[in-house]
This record gives sequence, structure tokens and C-alpha cells, in this order.
Amino acid sequence: MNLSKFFKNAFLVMLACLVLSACATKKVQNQMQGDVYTGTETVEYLASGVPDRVFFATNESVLTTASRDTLRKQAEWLRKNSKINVVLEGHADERGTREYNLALGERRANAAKDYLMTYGISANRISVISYGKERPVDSGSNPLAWSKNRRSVTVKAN
Amino acid sequence: MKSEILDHERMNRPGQKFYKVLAESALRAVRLCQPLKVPPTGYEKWKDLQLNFNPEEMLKG
Amino acid sequence: MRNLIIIIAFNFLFLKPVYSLIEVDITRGNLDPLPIAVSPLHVDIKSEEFKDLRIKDLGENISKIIERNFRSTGLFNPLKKDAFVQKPDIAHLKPRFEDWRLIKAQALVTGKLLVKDEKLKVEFRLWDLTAAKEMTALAFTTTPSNWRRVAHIISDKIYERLTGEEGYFDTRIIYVAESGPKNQRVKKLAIMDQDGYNTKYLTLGNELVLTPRFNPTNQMVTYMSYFRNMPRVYLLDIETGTQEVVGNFPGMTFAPRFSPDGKKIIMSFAMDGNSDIYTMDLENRIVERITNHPSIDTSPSYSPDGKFICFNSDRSGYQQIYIMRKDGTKVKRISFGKGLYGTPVWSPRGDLIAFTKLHKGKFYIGVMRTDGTGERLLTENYYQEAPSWSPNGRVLIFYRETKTDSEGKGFSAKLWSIDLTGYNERMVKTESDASDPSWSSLLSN
Repeated sequence: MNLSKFFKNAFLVMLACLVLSACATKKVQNQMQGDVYTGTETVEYLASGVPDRVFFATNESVLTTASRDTLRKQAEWLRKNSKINVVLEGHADERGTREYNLALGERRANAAKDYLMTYGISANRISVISYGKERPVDSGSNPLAWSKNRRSVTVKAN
Repeated sequence: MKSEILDHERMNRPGQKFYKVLAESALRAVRLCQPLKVPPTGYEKWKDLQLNFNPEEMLKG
Repeated sequence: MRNLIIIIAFNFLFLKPVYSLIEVDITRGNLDPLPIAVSPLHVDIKSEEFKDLRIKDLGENISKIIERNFRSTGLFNPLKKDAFVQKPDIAHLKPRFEDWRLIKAQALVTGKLLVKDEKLKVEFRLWDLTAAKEMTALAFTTTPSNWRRVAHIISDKIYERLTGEEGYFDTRIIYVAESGPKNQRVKKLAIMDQDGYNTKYLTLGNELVLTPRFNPTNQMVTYMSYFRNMPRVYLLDIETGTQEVVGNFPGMTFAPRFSPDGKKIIMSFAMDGNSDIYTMDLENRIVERITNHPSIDTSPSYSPDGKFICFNSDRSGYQQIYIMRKDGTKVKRISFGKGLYGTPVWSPRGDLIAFTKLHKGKFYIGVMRTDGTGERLLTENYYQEAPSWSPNGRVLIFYRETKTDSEGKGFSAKLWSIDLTGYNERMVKTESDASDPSWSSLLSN
């Protein structure tokens, strides 16, 4: 009698653990699509509804659909505020060599710049700087932290 | 037991630094092994030995 | 039957034995560091005072530096001083070889010094204890404040006599000293003797500085700085501290190195999403474009004869190592293993290229021949990169970072070194956290 009760409790505990760990994984999965960060935790806003940054997959500088959507909103905001100039800051995660990461950050920021320009934003309103892996926004040593660091951030220059 | 390097000319030739170092190292090893326990017979067989050193196996990676 | 046996035996008696030369292949052995006794140098009683130097302890202090240098190589085992059998001045004149051999020493270093007329005169001898004779002897004079360098120069001479290779003790290391939280690191250029002493800071830490490298005479440094928020390659004069930006590039320049003749700086220049390799002549300021490809080309490093350049490119899709002629022609890929390759650096011996490799989430420091064959991975870690060669092409120094815990704490960066054979991996002590190390050439050259 006691034994069956023990097993019942053990089973419930195990079930609870499984559910909890599944929840944790799901939480991480919800913030990443493949390798690209899709969450909002580190995102700031240039204006209401205009996120200031886009994210990238490991070693990539390709813009995702979500990124293009964000940049379209940034372009619209820049058209409305024609006096504002911006700096695009490109970053990489720490899982790469330092010098290559400087180049990768520059490539990412330029991918964002090129896209803004396709919406008619003039090149002389946009400058680019790369920080490579030098300025992570999340100091963690895990894939989620790294995905938040692979970014291009649009910053008001004036 | 007496031991010496036979190739005097090579020992002192410029550019043969590594030969000199290797030979001295081998000599040191031989001297440290004194007295050598040698088999009492078959001297004819082992009086000339060719030792091929190849430490490549010991390199890591 | 018995007759047959006698006949066979008889034949053997008369057979002239033909002995072929016996060959022994020796491919493995014990790695035992050579036991060496370093006697404190005898201080001549006629020595005068010099500034605030402790002349009385100089002989002992010099021998301690020599011992530490030897121990750091993994090749020598300096014996404890309390076992020493003769006083320094007597040992220097005529060592009692059998007595020294009793403490299991195979080599002995003795010497003497004299401080007079504001000069330091040093003499040392290296003895082979098993052969019972002197191996090498040298005397030289310098200013007394150079006493640490005296110890390093003696170490180099002995190392060279015992291994056949040039030493690397009279050298300095330039690196980036780091502090602060991981997402707001403060970085300064720092320089120190290879044994960790005489640390000096060359910048204040107000802007990010990265990847410093010496010029061939060790008087200048090229590095990358974010001064005024403009990431560019700079040139710094170590003696005067003056800094100047290299060239007039309209975008980020980075990954700088000197050419072997010291006349040019080679670096990457990034513009519109593309990074290519350029050189600038320091005398006439002429800029030459070396690569012209839409991929990222970076981390250039010259061969010691200046004829070739190895570099990092992702033109094949991922980071790999390439070599090319110094004018940018004949580009050839040399890395083909699984994983990403970065930070290629040509050995001063010209025979190998060291690199960083990333594969399945692990970082490796490795070497390969200049045609890409013979790849050997020397060490593996959670994070490490950027090897730099000792001037004799025997030791690699690089840096490692640790993970942070779940609260983002516990991060540290330290310098490490490893012998080319893959042995003797050890941490290099620095005053603070450190990264981006680069080894000077021998100061005495």
C-alpha cells in the first residue's frame, strides 16, 4: 500500500520536473528562431513601435524577415524626422576570433545601412561603426546570450 | 668505458650547432649509464649499433 | 638420422657469420628535464654602491631569475640551492665535478660580478658535469640598472649552448591589460619583461585598444584604438609615448602588423561591408591595396623573409587560412580541416603557421606547415585565441577567457603559453587580466 503511494508521488514529481524543464526550453525557444534572437529583452525603441536593433545568425550578416520589418519601420521614422542622423553599431558574439569579429560587425551594420538606403534614406545620414565582440549586451556564456549580442543597433547621432 | 664523438670536424663546423648539441646530449646519456651491463658474448653483433632517433610520435596533436 | 644432424651441425661450424648492422628505432622516451645547478654569482668584495641597488644580493637575485627562466621552459630542472656543494667563488674557479654530480646535477652555472665606476661587469661559465669540463664562458659589461637583463642574457646563452636554439628570455611582451565588467571592459596597452616583471602601461584606458604588435626593433608598437570613437590603426613610440594614426583611411582599419623589415604596416581596411588587406609605407606614406575581394580578408602576417603573407579570409564561405605573395598575387588556401580557422601567424623560423581553430564549440591553438599539411592541435579550451611566437619559433603565447556564471560573473582573461611540442602548457603571470599578447624579438639583437 505504502509502496504504491510512494511510486505515485515519485511519478508526480517526475512529471512536474519534466513539465518545468519543458517550460524552460520552450521559453528559450520562444526567444530564438534557429540561431537568431527574436525576443525583446534587450531591445530599445527609437520611437513608439520602432525597435532600435536587428539580430543575426552565427557568422551571418543576412537580414531575416523580422529584421527587414524592423528596418522598414526605422526608415519610415527617419523619413518623418529628416533632420536626424544615425550611427549603426555592428556587433558579434564572443564565439569567434577578435579581428574577424570586427569585420563581421562592420558587415552586419552595413547590411542594415544598405537596407535603409533602399527606402530612400540618404547615405550621408547613416554612418557605421563596428565593435566586434567588445561590447556585449549580455555577459552570459550561453547560446541565448550570444544571440542577443549578434546585432546591429541604430543610434541617434544628433 | 671510454666514449667520445668521432666526427671532430663536424662537431666544430659552423652551422652544425644541432649536431653538436645532439652529440653532447648522447654522450651525457652514455656516461650517465655507466657502468653498462653488456652481454658477455656476441660482441661482434652489437659492437656497431645504428640508433635512429625519431621523436615525431611524441609530438602532441 | 644422427648422421644428418652431425652434417648440419658441421655446416654451421664452418659458416662464416654474416652480421647485418643492427638498427634500433627510438621513437619514444621519458621527458626528463635536464637537472642543472645554478650557483649564485659571486659578488666581488671590491664592488661599490650604486643608487638603491642591493649589491650584496645581486649575485643571488640574478641566479634566481636564471632558475625561473629555465624552469619555465619545461626543459631544465634547476636544483635546490641548499644542496649546493661549493661556495660561488670557488665553484667558478674550479668545480669539484664528482661532488656536484652527487646531487644529480648534469650541468652547472657559475659566475661572478663586480660593480665599479657605475658599471656592472659580469662573467659566467657553464660546466658539463658528466664530461667534467667547461662548455661555455662569457663576460660582458653594462649599466647596473640592467641587472635583470643580465640574467636574461645569461639564460639565453646557456639555453642556446644546451639546445642549439636561440633563447627567448631577453624579450618583452606587449598585451592588452583588461579590467571591469565584461560588457564594459576597460583596456590599456601594457608591456612587461617576458618573466612578468617591469610592467608599464602605455595608454590610460579611456578608449578601447586592441591587438598591439612590436616592430622588429621593439621600439614601436602598432595597434588598433577607438580614440574619438573612430576605430583606426595607430603607431606608438614606446620611448616617447607619442601616438599617430596610420594613414588617412575613411573607415575602420584594424589587425595591424609590421613587415619584417619594419618599413611597412600591413592591416585590414573595412568599407561598405567589405574588409581588404592594405599596406602603408611608413616613410613615404604610400598605401597599397593587397587583396581585392568581396569577402572579409583580415589578420595578415608576413613570412620572415617578407616574400609571402598568410591571412584569414571567408571567401570560401567560412573563415579559412590563405597564403599569397607579398603583392597579393597567387592566393592559395591552405586550411582544409573541419571547423573555422583564424588568426594565422607565421613562425619566425619560417617553417610553420600557428592559428586558432573553432570546431564543435571548442577553441584550439594549433600549427600547420606553410602548405597546410601536418596540422597539429596543441591545446583545447572553452575559449582561447591569437597565438604569438617567441622569437626562436619554439613557444606560443596566447590568451584564454573563462565562462561567466548564470549571473554574468566570474569572467577572467589570462595569458597562457605552450611549447611547440604540445608540452609545458602554463599560465603567464600578469598584473591584471590580459589578452592579445605579442612577443618581441630578442632585445639584445
